[in-house]
This record gives sequence, C-alpha cells and structure tokens, in this order.
Amino acid sequence: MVKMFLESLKNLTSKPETKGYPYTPSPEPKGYKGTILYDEDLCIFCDKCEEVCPPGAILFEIVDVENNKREYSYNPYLCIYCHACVDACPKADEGCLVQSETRLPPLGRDSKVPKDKRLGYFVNRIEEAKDFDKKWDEFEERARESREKLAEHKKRMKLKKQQEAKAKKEAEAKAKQEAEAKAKQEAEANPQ
Amino acid sequence: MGNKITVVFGSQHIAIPEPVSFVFQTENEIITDVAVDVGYVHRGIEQAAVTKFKFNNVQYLLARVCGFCSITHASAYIHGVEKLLGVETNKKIDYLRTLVVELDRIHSHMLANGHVAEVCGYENLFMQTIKYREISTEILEIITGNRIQYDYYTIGGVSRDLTLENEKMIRTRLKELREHVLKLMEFFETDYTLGLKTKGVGVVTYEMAKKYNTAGPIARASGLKTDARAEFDFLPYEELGYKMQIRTEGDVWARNMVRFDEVLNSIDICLNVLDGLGEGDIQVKVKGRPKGETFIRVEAPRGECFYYVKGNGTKVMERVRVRVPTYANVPVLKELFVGSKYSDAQAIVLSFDPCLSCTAR
Amino acid sequence: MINPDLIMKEVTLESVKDEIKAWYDENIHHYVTVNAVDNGDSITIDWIFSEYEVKNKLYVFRAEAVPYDAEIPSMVDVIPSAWLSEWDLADMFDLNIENAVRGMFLEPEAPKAPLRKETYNGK
Repeated sequence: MVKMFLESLKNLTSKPETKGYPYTPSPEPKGYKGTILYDEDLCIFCDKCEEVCPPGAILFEIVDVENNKREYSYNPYLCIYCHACVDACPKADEGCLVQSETRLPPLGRDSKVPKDKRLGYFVNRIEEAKDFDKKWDEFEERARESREKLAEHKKRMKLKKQQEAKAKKEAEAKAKQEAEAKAKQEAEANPQ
Repeated sequence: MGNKITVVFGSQHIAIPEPVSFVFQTENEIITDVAVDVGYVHRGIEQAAVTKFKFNNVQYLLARVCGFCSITHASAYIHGVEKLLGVETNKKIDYLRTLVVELDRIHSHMLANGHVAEVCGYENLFMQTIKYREISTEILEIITGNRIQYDYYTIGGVSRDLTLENEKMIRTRLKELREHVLKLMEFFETDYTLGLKTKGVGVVTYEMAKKYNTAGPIARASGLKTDARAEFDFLPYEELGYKMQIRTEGDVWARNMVRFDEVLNSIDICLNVLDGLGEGDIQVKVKGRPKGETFIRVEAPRGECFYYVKGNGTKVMERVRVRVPTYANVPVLKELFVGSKYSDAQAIVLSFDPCLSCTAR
Repeated sequence: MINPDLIMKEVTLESVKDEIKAWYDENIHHYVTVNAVDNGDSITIDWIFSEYEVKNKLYVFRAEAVPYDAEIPSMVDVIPSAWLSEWDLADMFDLNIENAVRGMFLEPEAPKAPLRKETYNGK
C-alpha cells in the first residue's frame, strides 16, 4: 500500500502519459495500415483486388461494355484496412495499389467528402456526405448490373463469332462444292 | 434467515461493459441462487463464414469475433486451412506468428488484471496497469500496423516482415515492460487492501476445475495443468522457452498472478523469437482449395479456443465451428457464486475475464 | 483425417451416453465441446474430448446420419459443464436435445435453426 502511495505521488509530479489530443495531433506510427491508394495508369484490370476484398469495398464498374473499359471505385468507409488487396495485387510493387500511412477523416453529416484522384472514381463523384451510403448501395447494384451486361455481351460476341465462323465455313464448303461442280462440268464439256 | 432479495447484475453494469446478466437470489449478503443469461449478441458469424465469404477471406471475418483475441481466432482458422491444404510454413513465419500471438496475450492479460483492480475499488492500480499495457499495444501497432485488429495472419504466411530498426526498438521496449510488470506484481502481491478483496475470494478448487472442464488461466490458477500451447504444436512453443504457469490457490488473486506469470513468460518467448528470427520468406505458395475436416485447439488469452473446420473442395467452407474459451468457463462461474458474498461478485466475474461477444458469436 | 493423433469412435445415439459414461474420467479427459455438422439431409454429431498433458491427442465420439428430429441425449449427468454447448446446438440447429433450454443465444423473433443448410441455401 505504501509503495503504491509513493508511486502515486511520483505520478502526480511526472508528465502526463497521455497525449493532449485533439489539441496536439496524434501521429500515426510508421507502417500504419491506412487508406488504400490506387494508380490507374499502372493497373492491368485483373480484378484480383475486387475478388479478394472481404467487405467488398473495392468494385470495378464496367463503363464501356464493348471495349471492356473498367473504372475502379473504393469505399474507404467500408474498408477494414486488412491489406488483402495489396497482397493480391500483381503490380503492388510498382505502386498500383498501396496502403498509405495516413487515415481519412471520419465522415460526418456535414463534413466534406475527401477528394483525391487516387481514391477511385466513386468518392470523387459524391458531393454530399449524407448521401454517401445510399449512393454506394446504388453503385453496388450498378456495378453488378454492368458485370451481367458484360457477361451477356461476351456471350453474344461468342455466339456471333461462332455464327460467323459457321457462315464462313458454309461459304467455304459451298465455294468448294461449286468449284468441284464446275470442274466436273468442265470435265464433262471437254471429254477429250 | 434474513431478507431475501433478488439482485440483478447486468446486463447494463458499470463493472463489465458486456451484455451478460446474472440474476442473484441473495439472503442478506450471501448469494443462494444464480441464473445466467449471455445476452443477445449473436451475430451469425458461423453462418456468414459458410455463406458470404470465400475460404481465403474467412480469417478477416473471424478476427472480428472478438477484439482482444482477434489474432487467436484468425490463427486457429488459418492453422486449420493450412492443414487441409497441406501448406508447410517455414521457421520465420512460425516465429513471427508466435511473436504477435504472445504480444496479444500480454495486452489482454494486463487489461484483465487492471480491470480486476478497478472493480475492487483500486482505480489507481488500474490506471497504472493500463499505462504499462500501452507498451505492448504500441509494439503491436508497429509490427502489424494496427492496435486491435491486426490481420497479421495470411494463409501460408504473415502480412509483413519485421525491420531491423523495429526489432531493436521492440527489444528495449519489452525489457522495459518486464521491469514494469515486476513492479505491478509487487503491488498486487503485497497490497493489503487489494488482498482483502481478492485473496480467498471465489475459490475454484482443483476438483471443481476438473469437474467443470475449465480452461485457461482459471484452470491453471487452480493447479489444473491444461494449456493448448503445451498440448498442441501449431507454433514452436517448446523451443521458445514456454513454461506452464501454475498456482494452486484458485482464488481471484491467484488468477491475477497466473496472468502476470504468463505475461513474464510471454515476454521471454518474444525475446527468444527476436533472438532466433532468421532469414526466410514471409509467404509460402498456397494452391488448391480446402477439402476434408480438421480439429484445432489454440490457446487464447482467456483459455483454449477450439475450432472445427470442414471444407468440401469449393470456394466456400462447409462448416466452421467456433468454441471460445469463455464458453468453457461459464459453467464453473455459475457454480462459484453460490455461497459467496454479493460484494465479491464483480471481482469474481472480472477475474474470469469473460468475453460474451465471443460466447454468443 | 488431418489430425494425426485423433481417435474417432463411431457411436449411435442410443449407446453414446453409456459409452461416454464408461470411458470418461475427469482426471484424464477434458471435455472440449459438442459439435454438429449439417450434411444436407441429416446431421453428424461429434462429442470432442482431449487429454491433459498429452500432445496432439483428441478423442471424437461421432454419431453419423442423425435425423433432424431425433432425440439427442444430454451429457450433463456425466459432464456437468456440457449444458452450455448443448443449448447452443439446440438453438443453432433446432435439435431436440434432452433438457435443453431454448432462447439462450437466439432472440425469440430470430430465424430458427440458422446453421442448417436448408435455412441458408433454401430448400
């Protein structure tokens, strides 16, 4: 008891252990698992990060079905900062997908949505913070639909290709037949 | 004889911020009967693990079963899946995993002990314990990048390596922590008023511990030699200097002291890990999908954690069963109250360090 | 089987209680839990035990192809701490376990038997 009392007296005179947050900033330690940043120029659109993301915070929307053009979108408020996407990214070493050491400010009712090109398309298109969740739900639906559309398009293209191939084959066969018939005719015409 | 009163402990109680509720029937101050309710914090994690998540994502879900033993849940699942996939990890991965698991144990044990001191009315000591606990969480933050949800385990490896600079820092910090823990142990051991509240209170005898199949520090404080770290070899504990910590008193105080003993042992293990950490990859190649079934027992800070993992060769698991340590300790806790004083109930509950969000999952 | 030192014993629901009673010694064996797995048309129930101070040892008493509505015996007479895990199974799989109290884990309004395959996969 006496020892604890002495320790308490010591604590009374020593500097406080806690930081004066929010008056002094609380710095993130080195290697902190923060926001995921993306670089479109390096991306090869392999979709591995989307596939591996546990909460589904990374989504690719297919904006141009014909050319298979994709847009990366990221929801930093759904992200659990688990680092799985960066592990999965084949271009992570070059800086396509990196986990930065800073965190985004929390999203309040009246606060501004953070804007950064490297956060993906979705965040940059949202204006009002209070719409964020609703818009993300809509976006999820849209991304899913776009995926279905792409699948449909691919199927159609495949069918078309098959048909073309078939038509080509038929045409070839027909041409061959005709050629043969012609040769026959010619042979009949010139019995020699 | 005397007044019969029903006292409700929880589910909103200042001592324990979890939804457990005990309804005590008391006669004067002595508890004569008790009913337990673990509360409705069931989140359907077992179902989500077999429906919504692919097998290589389930560890992130299971890590969120509990804040304190998050690494244990992830580790148990990953050890199981690695067995099913036939993955052999190298020494470096095993060592790094052990380091994080033991640091997790240190911070959980320190909090549990501080919490007991707090409910005994000794908030001063609580603050002191939490102050020193901060060292372990800081180390964890530097190794894994997060304070609570580490997400350090990946299938076939760990998510990041230890730099030389960090290693040096961790070594000095751990040695510092050991000094502090020894000091705290002295306070717990010699303090007269804390002794009144903890010594001889809530005694789990050796026979009781065996009869009710208790686990973790609660069993070891009663002299029951059970520890999944000694019984299972998922991590190389033996070569890292693990020693089972046993006390025989079985009271609240002994449970605290077992936790402190284990903290000291864990610090030794961590230092041995840093000494023996060699070179090597931190990720081995993993192929295929899990098929078959396996049983895993790992030691969480609160006791042994049991997992049953079954895969069927598809992307989604067939069954993931989680049995958390608190689950093993609730039956004996219920028996323990009968005959003890109501004023001791808080200290008894907190000395068990219950985690109800784990229990209900 | 992946666990090397696992001893698996096939039992039936009628005999399991007697077998465990005859075998179980609280000085040696540690009751871990009772587990159930849904096979789609029936349930497999495992009673899992370990041994103190022995490495990697697990004992499993397995009852296979248990129908959903079968009466499952309670082990509380033999192992006094078994009630919590039994009540859990009764809630999660909607099983008919002797003396099990419902509603410990699930709210009254919650969906019944959340871990049965027919609940989450649809019938």
